[in-house]
Amino acid sequence: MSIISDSTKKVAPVLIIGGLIIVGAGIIVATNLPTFFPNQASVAEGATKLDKDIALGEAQIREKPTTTKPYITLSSLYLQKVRETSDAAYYAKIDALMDKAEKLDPNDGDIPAIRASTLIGRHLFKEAKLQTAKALTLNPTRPAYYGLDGDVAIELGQYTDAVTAFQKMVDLRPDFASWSRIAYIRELYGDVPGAILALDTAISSGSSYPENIAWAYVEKGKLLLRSNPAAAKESFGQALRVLPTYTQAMEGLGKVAFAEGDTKEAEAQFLKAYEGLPLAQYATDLGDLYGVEGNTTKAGQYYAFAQAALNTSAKSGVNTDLEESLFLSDHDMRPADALAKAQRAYEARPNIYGADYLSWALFKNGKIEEARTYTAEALRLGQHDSLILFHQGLIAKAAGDMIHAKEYLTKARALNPNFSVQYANVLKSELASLK
Amino acid sequence: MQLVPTRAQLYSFGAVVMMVTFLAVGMPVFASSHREAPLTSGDPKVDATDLYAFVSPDNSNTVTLIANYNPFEEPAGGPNFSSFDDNALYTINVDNDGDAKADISYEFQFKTTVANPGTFLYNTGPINSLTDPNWNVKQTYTLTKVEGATRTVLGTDLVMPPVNVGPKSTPNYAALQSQAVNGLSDGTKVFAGSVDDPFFVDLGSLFDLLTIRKLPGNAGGGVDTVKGYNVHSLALQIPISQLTLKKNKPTDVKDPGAVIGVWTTASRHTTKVLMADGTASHTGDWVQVSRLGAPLVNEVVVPVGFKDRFNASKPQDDAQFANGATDPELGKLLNGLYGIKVPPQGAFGSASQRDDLIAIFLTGIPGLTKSTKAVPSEQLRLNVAVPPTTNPNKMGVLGGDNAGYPNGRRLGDDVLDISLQAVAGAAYPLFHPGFVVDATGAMLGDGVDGNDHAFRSTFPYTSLPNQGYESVPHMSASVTTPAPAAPQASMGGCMVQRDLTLGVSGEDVTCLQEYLVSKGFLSVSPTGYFGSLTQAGVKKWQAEAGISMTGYFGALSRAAYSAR
Repeated sequence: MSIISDSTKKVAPVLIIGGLIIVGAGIIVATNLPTFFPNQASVAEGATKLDKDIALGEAQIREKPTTTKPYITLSSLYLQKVRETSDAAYYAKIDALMDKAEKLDPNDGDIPAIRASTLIGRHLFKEAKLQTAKALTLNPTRPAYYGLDGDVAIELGQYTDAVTAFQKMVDLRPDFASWSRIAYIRELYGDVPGAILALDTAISSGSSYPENIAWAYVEKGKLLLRSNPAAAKESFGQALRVLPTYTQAMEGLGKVAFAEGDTKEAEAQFLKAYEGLPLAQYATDLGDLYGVEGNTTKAGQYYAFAQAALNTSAKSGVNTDLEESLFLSDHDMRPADALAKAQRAYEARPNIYGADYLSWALFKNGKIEEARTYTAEALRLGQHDSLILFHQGLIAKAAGDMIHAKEYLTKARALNPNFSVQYANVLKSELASLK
Repeated sequence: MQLVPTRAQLYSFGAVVMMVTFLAVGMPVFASSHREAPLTSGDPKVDATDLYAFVSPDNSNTVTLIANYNPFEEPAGGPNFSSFDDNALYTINVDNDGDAKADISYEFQFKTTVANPGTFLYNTGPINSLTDPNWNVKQTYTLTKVEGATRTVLGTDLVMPPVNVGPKSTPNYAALQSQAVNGLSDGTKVFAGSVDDPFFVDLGSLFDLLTIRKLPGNAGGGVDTVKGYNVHSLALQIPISQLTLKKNKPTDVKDPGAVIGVWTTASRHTTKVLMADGTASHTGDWVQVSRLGAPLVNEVVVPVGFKDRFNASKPQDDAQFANGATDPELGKLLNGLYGIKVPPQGAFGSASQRDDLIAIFLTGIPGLTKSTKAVPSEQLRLNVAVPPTTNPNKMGVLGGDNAGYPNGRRLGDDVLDISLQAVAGAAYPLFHPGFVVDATGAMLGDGVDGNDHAFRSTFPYTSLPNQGYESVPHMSASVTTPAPAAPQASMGGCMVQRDLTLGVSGEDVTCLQEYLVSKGFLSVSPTGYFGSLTQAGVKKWQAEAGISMTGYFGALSRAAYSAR
């Protein structure tokens, strides 16, 4: 609490744009290199291997290469940089690189694949689908293209297509990338042990980027948190041993602490995550935590930070309709706006979450019967996601369908009592009221 | 080794160039919105960097085969990243009749054990022997020899040395490593573990544009990009009579039965994405995920865009890649960039095909590395009848030393220079006697002429791995000597003795923050956690101290502070 309380007001806005500024350090390292050759250049203190590779890649581009490869290389490095910093400003740079590369060789499948990656990052999945299809037409031998194609299929709600794509991918190349995708699709279909096994296999496969390994430990931690907070804590801790700056692992530790009833520790971890990378997600965690503690003033502050971060993302070209509609609905803000965004999001991403969040926004707008029409779609992969079940349980209850209300809410709690900081206790009391 | 940066050794680009990485990007603004799994990762644990095959200089009745994996292994990365993959199958394959099929394979499979599951520490104190209880996380392996339908387990639970953590954890590394050379009952010796990367190359000079720092490149001036990095090495020393077609030790160089072809592969099991029956595990077929024989193959033989296919392919199917050798991109580059008069080149089967490169990469050089059947296939070929020399020439066959590349490959062979010159046509007159080799082409090179560490005279010959110095990060390729004792920064009563950066917590962070607050560089109360505010404060302080504003409080920052 005392960590930043008295300075919150002036600190937070800085943090929100900080996401863009933090990255700057890496870029300064990259562009200030005095010579072409990184080994002769004095690489700034603390530069990561990725930063050094980016410096070399940028130097390479200044030499105006005649093949597509340096453009693809640098774009790929930028994509990893986005993973590590959430700085969407790189997408425009990548677009420019791909425009140049395309002039050199319009038939290089890596170009549409990279374009698909940036479109996925901007949450423009229908547009991304065109690019993955193009990449696969140009070169059907690349496992990575199937991975991208499957990623897009999941977002478009084409789950069996995603299974097919990932099967093709892993049959071509079992590696970190394919195993981590298998983990997600298994999770969506409700196979949690299979998902954890796939993540363990991914971790064993290894990666050049510590961030990738930390990411896998965090995903594993989230799955473990459903039933075993102590094991989840271990996995989040592993992520931090691999990458001490990994904010998603800090957030995970905060959720573990919350599940264990240690709200002070939860707050400390969420604050660390938010200071490390001021994402809307972490601001929402903090707002929710303060909210359940009854501190509505602070909750409101952090929700405002979350909204500001969402605005920043949207301004940088990322489509945040889906995320923002959930945020607004969850916190009973601007219901009409939430619904409009949910409708647009559902058009763009007709997957189980698109259906559920639209349903949730309709419910929050008092349109209970219309909300109910999306229940089956939201649950079409089965009853595997506590948040969806929680939403649909409340909607069923509002519609007077106590049988389904009880079924969904009971299942939500059985699957994952720790599914939400905001709703964990609400779920408990709703269930009690149905008894 | 591949020439232009690619998958393997040059993995800093390789990870990116060759396997290409379309990482699915961006952390989500909300975790629940969508999952962004990384899309590649370079896959270093199965990424073969280099393969070596030579008649053992200290035991000419044996051949030494070395396959290296895990490029750009940070000495300081140790426990987290430096290992073989327990789920992978690593093989070194030998074809002894030239039919492009493995006649003998050596299979390595690894197993990681954690002595004390209560800790994730690699070691809990100094490791003085391979059985030291302080060593917590260790890998062992099973070695199986496959010959036809016969599978012979040559050893199980074979020991490996720990990674070279640093002087506190692994004080007598040489002794640890020597304990990990396993003698097997059939006369084979085997070693698996971390070693200094024996390869030497100037990546900068060889990147796509082939920018050679100091033309023509045969007189130094290059910078060894892989200096100071380790690799994970598989090394075998095998009696020659176990490998050759006639199971003898050939003495006649002209005997095609004296030639063996070698390549290494790594494979993993595929799986079923969804298990309908609810079981979590499923073991599918082995899928080959990487393959390496001769160095430079990815530039000369494998066309751009076919890397995945090559990695999954078998030598017997290499005709599909033949055009790459007969009409190499690199030849066009050498001509286009430097005006080198390279030999004519063209499609496989055409009059202008590069017969010399077909021989070097696909069929073997007649009278030296061409074997009985000579089915075109990409392998590292070694004529075991050529005795080792006490005076090796790093240019191998081009330098008149037939005991070196492209007859097999020794650790010290300068395959980059050899390959550049070969593509420029250095061996072309053997097949087309009238051809005059371009004067510059015959001197091409990357300006790096040897490894930074001396090789050793006995198996496994490679140098000991670079030390991790108890986790001082690899700051640049030039760091190979022990890091200087880090200056300590004293702030009031507080000491900062380690590097501090984003994400670090501790009392020393509190110290640093208190100092920054006292100097007006930080306006929030100290938390002990180095976050973006602290970083911004460090930057401001660095600006005033006149050092580069990295926000990273490391040795330079400590020194700058101490100097005040």
